[in-house]
Amino acid sequence: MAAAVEMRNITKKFPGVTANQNVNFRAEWGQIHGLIGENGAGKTTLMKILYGMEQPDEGEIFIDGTPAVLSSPKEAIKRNIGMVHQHFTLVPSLTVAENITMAKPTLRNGLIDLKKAAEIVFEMGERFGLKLDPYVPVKQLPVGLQQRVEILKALYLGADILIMDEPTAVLTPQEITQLFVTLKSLKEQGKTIILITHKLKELMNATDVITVMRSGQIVGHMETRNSSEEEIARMMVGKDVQLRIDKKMPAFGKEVLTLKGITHYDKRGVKILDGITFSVREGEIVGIAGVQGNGQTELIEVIAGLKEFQGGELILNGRSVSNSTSPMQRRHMGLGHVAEDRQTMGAALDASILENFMMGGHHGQWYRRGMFLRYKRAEEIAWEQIRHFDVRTSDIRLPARSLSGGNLQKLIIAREMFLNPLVLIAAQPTRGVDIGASQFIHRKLIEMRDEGKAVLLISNELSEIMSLSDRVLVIYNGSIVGETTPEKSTEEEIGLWMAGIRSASRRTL
Amino acid sequence: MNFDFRQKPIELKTAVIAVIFGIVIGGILMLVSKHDPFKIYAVLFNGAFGDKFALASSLRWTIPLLFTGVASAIAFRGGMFNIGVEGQMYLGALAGALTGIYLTGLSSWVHIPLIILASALAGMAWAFVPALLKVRYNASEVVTTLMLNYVAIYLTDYLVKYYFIAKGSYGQTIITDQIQKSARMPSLIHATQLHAGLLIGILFVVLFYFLIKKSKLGYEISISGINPEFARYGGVSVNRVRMSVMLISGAVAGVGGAVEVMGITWRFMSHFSPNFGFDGILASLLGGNTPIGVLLGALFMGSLKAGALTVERSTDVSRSLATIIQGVIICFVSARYLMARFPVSKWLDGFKRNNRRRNSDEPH
Repeated sequence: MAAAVEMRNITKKFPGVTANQNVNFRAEWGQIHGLIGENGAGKTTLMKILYGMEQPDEGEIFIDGTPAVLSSPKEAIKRNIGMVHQHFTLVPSLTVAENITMAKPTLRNGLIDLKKAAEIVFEMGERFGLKLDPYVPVKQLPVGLQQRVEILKALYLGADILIMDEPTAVLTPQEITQLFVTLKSLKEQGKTIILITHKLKELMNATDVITVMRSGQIVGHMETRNSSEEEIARMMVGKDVQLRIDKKMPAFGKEVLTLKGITHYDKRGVKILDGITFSVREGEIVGIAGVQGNGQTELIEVIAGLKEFQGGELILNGRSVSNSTSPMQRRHMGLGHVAEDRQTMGAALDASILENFMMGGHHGQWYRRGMFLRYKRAEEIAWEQIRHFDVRTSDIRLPARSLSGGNLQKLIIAREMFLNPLVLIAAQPTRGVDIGASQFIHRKLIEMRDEGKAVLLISNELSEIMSLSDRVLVIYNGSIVGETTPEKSTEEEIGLWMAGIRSASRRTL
Repeated sequence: MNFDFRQKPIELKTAVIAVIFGIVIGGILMLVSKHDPFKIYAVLFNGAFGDKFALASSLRWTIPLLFTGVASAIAFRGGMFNIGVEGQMYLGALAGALTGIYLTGLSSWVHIPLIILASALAGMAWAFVPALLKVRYNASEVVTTLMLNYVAIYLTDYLVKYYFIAKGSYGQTIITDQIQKSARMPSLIHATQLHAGLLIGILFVVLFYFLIKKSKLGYEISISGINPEFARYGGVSVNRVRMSVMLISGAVAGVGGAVEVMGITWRFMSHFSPNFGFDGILASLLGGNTPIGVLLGALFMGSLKAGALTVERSTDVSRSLATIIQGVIICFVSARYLMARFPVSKWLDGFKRNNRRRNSDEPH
C-alpha cells in the first residue's frame, strides 16, 4: 500500500537558516504519527510545506503514492490534507455549524442553508464521535470543544490526513485524554494523523510511530512501543538529558507579595478576578495552575501595575500598592516580571538585543548617568549576562527578532534576574522553549528561590508547575479554587480543579 | 491606512529604490508630455549642483527641511505620527517674526536666541493640543494634527491681518512689517539666499542624534515607538514619552518657521511655506527617521526643489515635476505591500539561483 504522505529530499532555506535539510518523511495510512523536536528543529516548517503554506526549495511530495504540487492550502485541501493550527481560526460569534461549513457553505438556491449545515455537523459528530451542538456560538464553547470544531472543519473539507500543531497546549489533562480518544477513533477509520509536539509524555501515550527532528534534519524514526522517553529526549537534544529537577529543602522567610481579595473587572464590566487571596514568601516558588484564560493574564498584569484592580489589597515587600503605583515604582520596590507573551510584551522585537536587555535597568544606576545612558557600560553588562545565561547571538546590536524563541526567553529572564528582584513573576517561562533552554530556565528559577527570593510561577504546563513549585494554587474562572503541594496531589486531581469540577462537586455535597 | 513605517525604519535599499522609481516615472511623464527626460533631468541636475549658485540654492531649500525633518523624525520615533509640523511651523514663524519686529535695541547674539526661544514655545504650544487629546482621550494624532494645520495657517493669517499687518499694505496682502536688522540671519555666501540658518539646522540634527542615541529619554522614545506595550511593561510612562516627543517636535518645527523668517522673508508672510512640513515628513521617512538619514533626506529634497525651480525657469516643464517625483517616492516608501510586490533583491537572488541550477545541470 502506498504511504499516505511521502516527502522526499525536502530542503527549505530561510535567510540565515536552513529549516529543512534533505528531509525524507513518510507517514502510513491509519496511524497516529508523532513529529517531535525542539523549537526551531524544523517540524512546523515541514508541516507547513505539506499543507501548502510554504514552498520547498527542493524535493518532492507524494500523497497516497501520486506526486503532488502543493502550492497553497487550497491545493492541499484538494488532496485531502487538513491542518488544525495551534491558534484556532474560528469566528467566535458564529455558530458551530457556520464555522465548520464556512469554507464550503451548504447552499440551496444559491443561499446558505444552515439547516442542512447543522444536519451535516450532527451526522459527522455521530460518525466520528465528535458530538457538538451545531447551533451554539463558538465563543460559548470551552477551548477543548473549540478544538473539536477545528477538527470537524478539517474533516468536513474531506481531510484524510490531519496535521495537528501542538494541539494540547491549551487543554486540561482531561481534555487531552478526550482528544486522544478522538484521534484514535479517527485512526481506526483509516485516517492518518500527524501530531506535532514537543511534549514527550503525550507522544508516548498517543502515537504509533515517532519521527524525531533536530536542526532541520530527521534524526530518528521508530515505533513508539520500541522506544522510551529518555531515548527520544536524547535524540531531540543530541545529548543525555536529566528529566527530573533537583531541589533543596525549602527555607521560607517573610511574605513579600500578598494579595487580599483582589478583584478586577474588564472594560465591559465583567468580573475577571474574584477576590484573589494568596501570598508568596521569601525562598518559595508558588505555582498557579489553570487552563489558559481563567484570569491568569489579568492577575499578572494587576500585580505588575499594567491593569487596575477595583477591590482588595496588594502588598509588595511590606508596602501597600495602589493603582497609582506605576510599573516603574513597583520595579523599584523589588518586583520583576517575565511577561507571559514575550513577543508582544516581554520584548521589542525590532529593537536591538542590547536595547531589550536595558529595559527596566535603564531607570537605575547601572548604566545611567543623569539624563544620559552609558551604552558602553550597558553593553559590557549585557554581554556578561548573555554569556552567563547562554543566550546565543553573535552581535547584540542585531534586532531581538534575530533570536530564536528559547534564546529570546533566556534574554528576558537574564534581564529580569539581573535587576535582582525580591519577587519575580514568571509567566509561562518556558512556553515554546526547547528542552535544553527550559531546563536551564528551571534551574535559574530554583537558584533564585534557594537564594531566598520569591517566585510566582504561572504556567499552562501542569508538569512545570508540579516540578518547580513549593505550593500550588489552582485558578478557575477568576478565583483560587484550590491549594495544595506537589507532594500531596497528583496531576489528575489538580486537573479536576482546573476544570472547575471539584469546586462544583463541593457545592453539591 | 498603514502607518507601519513610523515604527519600522525604512531600509536604505527601499529608499534608494523608491527614489529611482520616482525619477523613472517622472521621466515617463515627461515623455508623455513630449519632453526629452534626459535633457530635463540634466537641467534639473545643473540647477541643483551645477555651480556655486546652484549649490547655494539647494542648501537654501534644505534648511527648512532640516527642521521639519528632525521634527517629524522625533515624533515618528516615539510612535506619534505628527503630520502637524506645517502648522507648528506657522505658529513658530509668527511668534519669531513678532519677536523680531517688536523687540528693539538688542544685539543679534541676544535677539536671535530670543526669537528661537519664542518660536519654539509657540510651536510647542500648538503641538500640545493634539498631544493632550491623544494621551487623555486617545484621539488619533493623525487626524488632529492634520486638521490643526489648516487652523494654524488661517489663524496666523487672521492675527496678522487684524493685529500685525504691515504699515501701508493694501488689498489681499497679508504680511507683517520687516523684522529688525539684529534679527536677521547673516548670509553665508554673498549674493545667494544661503544663510546661517543652515548651521542652526545642522546643530538641531546633532542634538537629535544625542537625544535619540545617548539620552535616557531617547531610549524611552525609541522603545515606545517600537513597542509601547513593552515600554509600559518595563516601567516607561508611554504617555509622558508621547507628550514629550510632540512638544519637542512642535518646538523644532516652530524654530524652523522662525529661521525661514530670519533668513529669507524677514517678515511673516501668509502662506510662506511651500509645504515644508510635508516635505520634512518625506525627508524623515526617506532617511528612516535617523539623524544622518534626515540630513541626507533633507539634502535630497532641497536639491530636488532647487533643480525643479531651475527647470521651471528655463524650460516649459512645471515645477510640479518635483511634486510628482516626491509623490511617487511617498507611494513607494509608504506602500510596503507594493515593495513586497516588487521584490527586486529577491528577483536578483532568484535569477542567480536559476543560473546556478542551470550551470550545475549542464554536466549531466
